[in-house]
Amino acid sequence: MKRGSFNLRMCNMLLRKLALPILVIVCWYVATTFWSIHPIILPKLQAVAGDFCNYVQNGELLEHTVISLRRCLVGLVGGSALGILMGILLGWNRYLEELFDIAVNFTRAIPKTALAPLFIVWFGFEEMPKVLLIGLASYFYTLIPTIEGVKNVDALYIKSARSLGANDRQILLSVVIPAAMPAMYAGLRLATATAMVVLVFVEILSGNSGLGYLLEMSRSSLNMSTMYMTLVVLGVLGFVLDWLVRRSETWLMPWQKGRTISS
Amino acid sequence: MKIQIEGLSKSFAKNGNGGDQEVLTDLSLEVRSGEFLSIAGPSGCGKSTLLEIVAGLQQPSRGRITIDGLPLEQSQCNRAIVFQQYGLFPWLSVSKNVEYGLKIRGISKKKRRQASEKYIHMVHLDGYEDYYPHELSGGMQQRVALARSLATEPDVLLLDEPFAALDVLTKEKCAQELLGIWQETKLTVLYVTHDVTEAVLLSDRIVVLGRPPKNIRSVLDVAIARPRTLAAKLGDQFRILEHQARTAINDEAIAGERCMA
Repeated sequence: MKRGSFNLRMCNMLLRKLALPILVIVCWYVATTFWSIHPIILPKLQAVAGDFCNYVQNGELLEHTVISLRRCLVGLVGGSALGILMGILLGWNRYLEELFDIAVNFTRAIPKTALAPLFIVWFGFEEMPKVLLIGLASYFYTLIPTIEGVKNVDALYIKSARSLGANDRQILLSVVIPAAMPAMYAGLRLATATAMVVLVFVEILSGNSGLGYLLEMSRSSLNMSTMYMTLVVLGVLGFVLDWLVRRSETWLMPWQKGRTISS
Repeated sequence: MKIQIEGLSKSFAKNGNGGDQEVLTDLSLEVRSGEFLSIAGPSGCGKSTLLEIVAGLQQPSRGRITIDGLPLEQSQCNRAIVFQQYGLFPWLSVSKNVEYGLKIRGISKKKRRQASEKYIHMVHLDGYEDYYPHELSGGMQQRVALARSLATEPDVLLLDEPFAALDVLTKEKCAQELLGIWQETKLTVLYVTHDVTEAVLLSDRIVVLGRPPKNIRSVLDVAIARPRTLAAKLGDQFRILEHQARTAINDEAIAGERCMA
């Protein structure tokens, strides 16, 4: 009986969550099928679905997606790892922070996409500038919150650890890093979203592969159904990446589960 | 473990005008071995600072502390401190919190587990080993903090208003438990509080601190028979001592306000 009501509640929740997306798709279908909307503005839903099937069948979609995903992940993982590591060092050591303070704050003030032309001149049109630019954006988006997180660790935790006999290294590893992890994750989620932005930007700008390239191609040939299909794929990709980050968050920080703002 | 505090002073750099603010001036005090000593006084009189200096978390500006004749730094004496706001690590479960001090010392997992079981039992939290701190009530969290300190097997237990954040009933219960633990372990206890009743109930002696420059306002001997239960509060002797301590603290507080005005 109890189990039944639980399932019912799950069903209700799922229904509420899916209601709006389904409504949008139905509206799209109705609008493009029964009204004469110019396909340049909004292509038929069937055309987009047809494109999707074609691209899946000839393997091109998978190819472009894999290429984009690889660029994104390599840049994101590399940049964030470096950002978190550097953030821990700068937040922990005041001398290092002062040494890097102006450099960090000046460099982060430059929009990362503004560096794309420079990187293309330096590194050409291949993978290098794309991955580096995504890495650079991820680096700064994780660096700043990590520094703040490390600096703002509750002094009481540190006092407690010290009174229990911990030395500096032990305090850093067993207190400061876990205490700053929520801040690092806030940075990581920002970095994930930004990595997608930079990825699409650099792919539109140069090269001949990836989802951004697919967008640019469909624009120049006014192939709107392909453009819409790519947008949907990008949306799904971003959604999945964010979901993965959030999942790993509850997995790595089980103590945060069920914690409310007030506790 | 006998703690000898001699001519202790501590000043902090004041923000802005460059001058120093002295919170402890030339304070001398002896804590007898196995004694339960309370330090009471109005807020801002340096109670917590004194405790943190004894804990080794702050350095005194002048003066020295010896434990059984040895300077604090050389002493092998193990001191543990419990804070008002618990200071539990939210990312560790109850048992991991209790084991923290032992893990830091490189003690084996098996021994750590034994110790955490023992001390969690001592503070009556059996069954809560795998809970996270935020899943517990304030009183329970403070018990975990106490168990965490006790697990390091200290010779001296320093308590900084440990039950001040708890409601009255929980506070009385925790205080009774603390008394039981103290009697069982024969620890030397330094107990900072602003709750006079609590101080009289728990202590062998109460030291009332005042504002600088005269730091120790008075020392009260609490000659009430042990073991003490809550019923001890009904005795005449208890009430007289409570009144004496309260008067001493209030005089200080009023003098302090006049000073500031």
